[in-house]
Amino acid sequence: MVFIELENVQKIYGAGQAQVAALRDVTLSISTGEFVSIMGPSGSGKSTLLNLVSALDVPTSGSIRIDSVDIGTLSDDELTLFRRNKIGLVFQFFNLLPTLDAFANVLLPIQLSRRANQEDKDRTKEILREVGLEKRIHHKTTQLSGGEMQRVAIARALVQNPKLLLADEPTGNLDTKTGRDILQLLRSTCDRRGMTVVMVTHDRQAANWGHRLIQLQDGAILGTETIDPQHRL
Amino acid sequence: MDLFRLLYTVSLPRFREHPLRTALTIAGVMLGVATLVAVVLVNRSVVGSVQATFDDISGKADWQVAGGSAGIEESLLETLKEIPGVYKVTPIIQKTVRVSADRLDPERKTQLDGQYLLVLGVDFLGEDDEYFRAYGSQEVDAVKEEPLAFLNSSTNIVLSDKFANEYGYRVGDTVPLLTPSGTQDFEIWGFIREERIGRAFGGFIGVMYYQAAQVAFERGTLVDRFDVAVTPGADADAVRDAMLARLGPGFEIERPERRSGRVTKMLNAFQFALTMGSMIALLVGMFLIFNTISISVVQRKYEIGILRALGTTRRQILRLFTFEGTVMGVVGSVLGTGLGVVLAKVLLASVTESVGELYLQVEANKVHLDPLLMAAGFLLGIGMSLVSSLWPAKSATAVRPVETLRASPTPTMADATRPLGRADVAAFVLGAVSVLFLFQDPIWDMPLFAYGAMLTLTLTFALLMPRVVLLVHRMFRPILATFDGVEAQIANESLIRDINRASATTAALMIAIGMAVSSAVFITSFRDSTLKWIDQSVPADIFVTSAARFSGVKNNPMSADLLPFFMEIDGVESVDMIRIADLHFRDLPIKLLSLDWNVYKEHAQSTYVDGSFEMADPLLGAGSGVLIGENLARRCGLSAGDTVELLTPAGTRTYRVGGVIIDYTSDQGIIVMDRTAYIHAFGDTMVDTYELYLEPNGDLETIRSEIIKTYGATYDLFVLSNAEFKGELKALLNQIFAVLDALELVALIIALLGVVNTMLASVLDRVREIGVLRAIGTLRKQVRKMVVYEAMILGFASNLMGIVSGLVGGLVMLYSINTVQTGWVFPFSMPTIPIIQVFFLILVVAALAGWYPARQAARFRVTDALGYE
Repeated sequence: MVFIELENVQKIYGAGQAQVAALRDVTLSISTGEFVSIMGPSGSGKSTLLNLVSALDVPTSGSIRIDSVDIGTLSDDELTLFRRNKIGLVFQFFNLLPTLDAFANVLLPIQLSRRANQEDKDRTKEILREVGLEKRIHHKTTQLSGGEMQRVAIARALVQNPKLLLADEPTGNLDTKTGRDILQLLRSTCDRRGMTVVMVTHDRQAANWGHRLIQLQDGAILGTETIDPQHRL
Repeated sequence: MDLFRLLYTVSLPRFREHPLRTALTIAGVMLGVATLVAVVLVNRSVVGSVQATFDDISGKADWQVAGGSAGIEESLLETLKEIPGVYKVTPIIQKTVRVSADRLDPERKTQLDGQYLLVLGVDFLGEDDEYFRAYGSQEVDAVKEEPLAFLNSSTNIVLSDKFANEYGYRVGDTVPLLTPSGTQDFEIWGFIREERIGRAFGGFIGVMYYQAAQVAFERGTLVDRFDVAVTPGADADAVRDAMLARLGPGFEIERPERRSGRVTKMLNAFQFALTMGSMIALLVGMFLIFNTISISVVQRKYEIGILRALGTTRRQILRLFTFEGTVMGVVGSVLGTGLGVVLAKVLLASVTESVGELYLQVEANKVHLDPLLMAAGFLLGIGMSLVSSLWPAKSATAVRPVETLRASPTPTMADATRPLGRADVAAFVLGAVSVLFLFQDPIWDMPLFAYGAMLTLTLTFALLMPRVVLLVHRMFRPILATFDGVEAQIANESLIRDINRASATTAALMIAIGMAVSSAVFITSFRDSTLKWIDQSVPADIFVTSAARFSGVKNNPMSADLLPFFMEIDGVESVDMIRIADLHFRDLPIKLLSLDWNVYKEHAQSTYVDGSFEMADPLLGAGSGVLIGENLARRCGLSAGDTVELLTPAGTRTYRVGGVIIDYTSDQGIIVMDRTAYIHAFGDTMVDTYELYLEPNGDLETIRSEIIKTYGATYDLFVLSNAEFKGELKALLNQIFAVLDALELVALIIALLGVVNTMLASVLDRVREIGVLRAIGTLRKQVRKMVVYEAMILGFASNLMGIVSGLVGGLVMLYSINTVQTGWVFPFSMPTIPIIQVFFLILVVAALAGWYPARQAARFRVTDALGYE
């Protein structure tokens, strides 16, 4: 079943002679439960593609349907609520709120909608346990290591039970071993939950954790390949 | 030169990059400097106007001989003339008189309503007068040649050219003036040139023959003083001694400039308080500089790191940031000095009005642009900007090149969580210094140490601000956790991201709030004490005054002949006649209040601080005793049973102090005596206020109508009930303190500029964070709320400390400053309503100050914000 569908998507930045086409006529579909890695050199359009699929930005032309919703037709508030309820985001620099502890960071997306009840708090603790941070729940983010911070970020992305998880270079700021642990966590969690994952990376090893790899170059899809699980290390 | 190059290449682009923040900071300094410059210029203009009037009137007098407030017998003229070394002597009567505008045509009525005229009674016919002053008037010359017609009436007058030019008066016209026997039309016989005497009192001056003035203003055979010139070459001091020896004790012989100095000295406390108030505005402005440079240092750590890596020395960094603050200070001070001149013009009327209500009638209609004072305000603005930028600039020198790797500022809350930091120690030391200051004696009769204590206490509270911000943060955390939305919680957490910045902003706002609360404490305590005093000591049912609502500086004394009229009105039980005269007592310009002791003691009960009614009653009844106000007693070290010597036209008289009472008639001090004794000693029968006590069945409105119908227009009467009298008093106090309110408002505006500044910086610091929040599903309106809530929590923290510091400051004002300046001790009254008003006003205005930065924050494009840095 198709979960993400891009049809003839173009994204152009700037105007007049300064116009730059970040994405050119991209057509792509990603199935429910699929883990897709996107690779490409700098300026290939992978971050733009991720921003569009994250509903952080809208295409210049073409259509993007996520979970049967044409996001091009949504207002700013509707896009925000769409992100809040359906998408989990993981960033390269973790982007946790430095003044909150791990628990409060993870609970935050729920609190943006409503006052957290006991069930929400229990779920938050459960997710933190799931990512291996049960003993670091009330630590400030400044007291956590890079790997731990990324685990908190993953827990935050998962807390609303999103159908889609988007990761932008999630291991880009971590050492090799920690990076591998994080990818393993991402993959196992998503498999268990049946979530669709799109991950942008420049690291082939990291990309191998996906089911499928899409290569981008100069704003267009260069090629797609199915990843052999044997290549995962 | 290096510094200028750095400033040009590094700082200038930063100023351009944050135009709003730069503008807000400059605006803060500008307002602070403008307030200070305006106040000092107004003070200078008022004093200058008084001195100019004295100088213009005294002419070539070497000495002025006076006999106390009631006057001096004109017959002494001949005695003085006989004294060797006395070259010229001339009598003077000097009186400010209200123009009865009701009688004028509508156009002149609008122009001259409430206008006062300085009327001089001089000896046109005496040869000596010519020596002292020239009138530059053909009409006066004609009068001197043919004096009989001019002397034929007591209402002939010569006015200044200003009257002729501005109001279209001509010779032969009449001008209605209020006199003790009601309004009288004075015929204009000529005009004197608007120079020297003709420009005294702002040109609102009229000259009469002194004996005509005696009749018109019921002075009997008294004059106010004699101007004396010493024979050229004679020893002036020896002549003075000779005059003293001849006249005997009880006469004042002074240089004209000393007399003007004594009058302007009266204004010292009032003007000093205004200057201090304006300094607060400047101080708050300096916090803005401190804050802006601090923000700049934090946000530019990366840039500083690069500069350091490229070989810029710590000293150069220190100079660069200090210079940036100073540049903003210079621009702010230039603009502030200009704005100060404009503000001074606006403020002058209000201050002149207050001085007129409290001390003396002044015609200060032009701002005296004293270049020295303007330069002082300008330099103070720059100096304080430099000092304010030093500390944050010093912190910039601590940035190591390696910090270029760390792009975002780290939270600094650790400083405030330490058990004891440098700020706490400094606060403790300053607190101790404040206490020390409070126990010091006044200098030159001014509570300079107490003002110093106000300043050090303010800084103490400012240094404790990080603690308070942290306290508020912790206090709010559990409370906000129970709220539905997470916005307030995030706002509360953001507060401590940079606790130094939050503390500087809240400190500035706290100072402004503290100032408002302190003055509210003072005003409330003053007002409550005064009203309580009126209830107990001034309980009359009706107060009748002429030309002004209160007797004191502006009213027109009335003739005692009105007494039978009041007594005959149905429903009037008794009438007290109050006269409040000026008196010089032990070099203090105090008031001498006379009343009908028998009427007074029937109805009123003074509060005795020392002595008792039983002790005072026989003394005042016999005319041999007086009561003295607590402030005068405190200043002169007097107590019940002591004796005081008063200057009367006939020399010195001694009275026994029957009691020390609470009395708020004059901040300079008061002596109360029975009217009969007063008339006997001073020969003055006039009445400032008729106080009517009604019979139980007396109808206030009927009695009031009858008084107004009979004498209302003639005397320009104000007939007030006791409740109205108190209402008017409250209004007067509000009017007097309006200038202080305006200064508080300026301080508050500057502090709020600081809130906008801080919130803008806070938002810019958190662009990425806000981007993340938006990315994970935070609506724009939620972002707006977060920033506004943060500004409100800042406002709350400022309120908390501001109210505490304001109450402490209020106590210092009441018991350290006010007791020295007025001698009064007002019991403390809690200004509950003003505090509640200030509290909510600050929350609302802080929210408004956060609105613009909040809008900016909500407008960030999420993708741009995430890519920020």
